[in-house]
Amino acid sequence: MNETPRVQEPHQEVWQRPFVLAQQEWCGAFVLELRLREVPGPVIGERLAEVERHCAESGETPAGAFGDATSYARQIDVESSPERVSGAWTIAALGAAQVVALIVGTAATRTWAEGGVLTWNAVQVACLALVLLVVLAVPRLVRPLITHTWVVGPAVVALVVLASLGSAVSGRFVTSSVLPVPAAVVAVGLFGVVVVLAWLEYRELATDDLVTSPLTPAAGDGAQQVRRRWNALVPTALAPVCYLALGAVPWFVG
Amino acid sequence: MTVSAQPSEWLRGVLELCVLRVIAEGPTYGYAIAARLAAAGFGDVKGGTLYPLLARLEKNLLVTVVWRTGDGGPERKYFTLTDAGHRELEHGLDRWQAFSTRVTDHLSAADATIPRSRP
Repeated sequence: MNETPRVQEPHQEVWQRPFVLAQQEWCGAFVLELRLREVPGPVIGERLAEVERHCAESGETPAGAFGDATSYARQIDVESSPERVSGAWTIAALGAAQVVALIVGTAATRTWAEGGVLTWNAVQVACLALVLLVVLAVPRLVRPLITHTWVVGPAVVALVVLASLGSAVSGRFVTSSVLPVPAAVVAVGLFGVVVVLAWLEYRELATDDLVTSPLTPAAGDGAQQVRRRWNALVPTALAPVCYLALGAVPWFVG
Repeated sequence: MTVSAQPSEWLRGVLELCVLRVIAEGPTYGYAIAARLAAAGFGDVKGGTLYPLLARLEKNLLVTVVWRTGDGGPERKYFTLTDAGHRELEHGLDRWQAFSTRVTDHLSAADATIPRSRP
């Protein structure tokens, strides 16, 4: 057999491959199930490439050759290496820290603009802890959110809304402060924290294990690197930008 | 899995051995293995059956894998038997020979004592 090793080229994300575009529903369900099982992106890409090559040679559809995408994903994962990634948990933890810094920091900015002292009562601290827990649990909530969207989704939203309302209401009626701190120090300090967390998140997302195919990239996908950078930059820039925007409101609106 | 020549339960028990036997002939890829099994009379072994088995062989270090082109064709994932894979194949063949002999002996002995129904 006259075989030549494959020329190493930059790996392409699977989403631009014609096969995946043509079989979007099956491939999407397959990738989602393996992602939820925390299988590394390149491993998912390799499994998808097996399906692509087999279907190309046999002329079958993925559903015809491999059956239901979710069931097949579970089956192939059980038989594969137990290698797992924890990127989702790192990003969830960074996101949770950013949310808390954003809530506390923008409240501090408002107090700073009004010339007051930032105070937090026990109910507000508890509500903040509740929101923190919800954000931290996001990786675990993804599967129930997908499978039982109309049950889990409203429950999560209700929890966050109740925590926000509880915090706001307690600010009017509970006067005993557990956290009196200079507002300016908190506002500026937490902006620094948000920026550092955003940078860490960007690093995590930019080097994240994308679902890449071992097959030769399709022609005309030179924009992939740019798109990948934007995909990492936009979500990570969100928290610092929100912080500045929300923090500026009290200064200009009064 | 659709099998025309024998009940699928029979093949399920020995499919891994049959796949190891195909890979022992030289580096090969998934679809070629399925085609080889079909040509050997095992019927249509679906991708949903074959690839999890190949993944298990890879996990158990019985095969090595590499993506490459062959004969100017497209890129494929080639499977090559490792030394452990060769040993597993030999061990499996011995066990299969012993088992099939036992089954054949049993069925032959039973065949002699069972009265044939009249046509």
